[in-house]
Amino acid sequence: MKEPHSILKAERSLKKTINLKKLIGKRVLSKGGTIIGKILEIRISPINLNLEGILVRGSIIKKSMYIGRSYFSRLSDEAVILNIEVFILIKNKQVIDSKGRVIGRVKEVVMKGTRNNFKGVYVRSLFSRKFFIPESEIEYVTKSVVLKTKYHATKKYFWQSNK
Amino acid sequence: MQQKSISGKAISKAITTEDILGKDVIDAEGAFIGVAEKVFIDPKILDFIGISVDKGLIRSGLTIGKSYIDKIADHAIFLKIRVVYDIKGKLVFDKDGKKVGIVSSIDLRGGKNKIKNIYLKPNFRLFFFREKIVIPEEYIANIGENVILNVTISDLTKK
Repeated sequence: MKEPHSILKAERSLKKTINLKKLIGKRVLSKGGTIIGKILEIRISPINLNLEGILVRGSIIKKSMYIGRSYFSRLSDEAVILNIEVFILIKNKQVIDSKGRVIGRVKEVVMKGTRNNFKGVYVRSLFSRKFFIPESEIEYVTKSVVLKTKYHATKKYFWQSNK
Repeated sequence: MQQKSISGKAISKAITTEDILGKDVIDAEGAFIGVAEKVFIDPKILDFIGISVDKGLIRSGLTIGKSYIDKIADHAIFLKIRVVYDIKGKLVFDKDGKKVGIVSSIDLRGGKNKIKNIYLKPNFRLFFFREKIVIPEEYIANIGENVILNVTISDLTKK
């Protein structure tokens, strides 16, 4: 294909840009390589024409996700790599207390606004009711959610009253 | 009946092998590694030196030195580290997010929990790699659910 004419002022040359059309359907990876999903849409600001974020395809079970560009680490022809681990994806992870006891699984993540921070998680085990664990009581979140030493889970079984 | 003691030390706070064996072993990322099946004691100094972990029927066992153990809790043994052997089977992406392959084996630095090289079974699309791809530790940018490199596939073919 012949090289097109370029009409530029201070912008990057054609070779130094990325064809956004080719990015649709490409994968989105977290900082640690978790496959978040595939790109459904790329959104730009109508005011300054800057790239604002990407919409990640959902499924029947999973909601779609809109991720802002401040969370992008790298954008290439092949994928978008984020600079974060997406906290909303901790759903269904095991919750372990400081003694190593499995106290349940994350059933719901309560986010702080639209940022990648969370207020806490709702946890549930086989015979227990759903109970809330605030973020301040969580030591770290990686493959599992590990709780701080001081935390004592107020787990209630379904036959116990709400009081 | 109270047991008599000639230890010369207050051993009431000590733990026994029963407190270790059969417990879940959890790494620094909260991942379940296996179940403690043996306790190793140095025959000369009679000191505790590590544990052996049973990882199930399919995967081979693992021996972990005591310096890597963070704490022995009531229900599990917590490690200070993330076990590098767990990288096996993970997907590897290059700097641009292109799939390079799957980790098939690893080389450690002197038996420690440090990676020297990882060997990849190449992605079927990368026909120019006929054999295993060797990735030195310095090319690894991040290890999480999968592995991300700090070089591109074309950089790997050049080397």
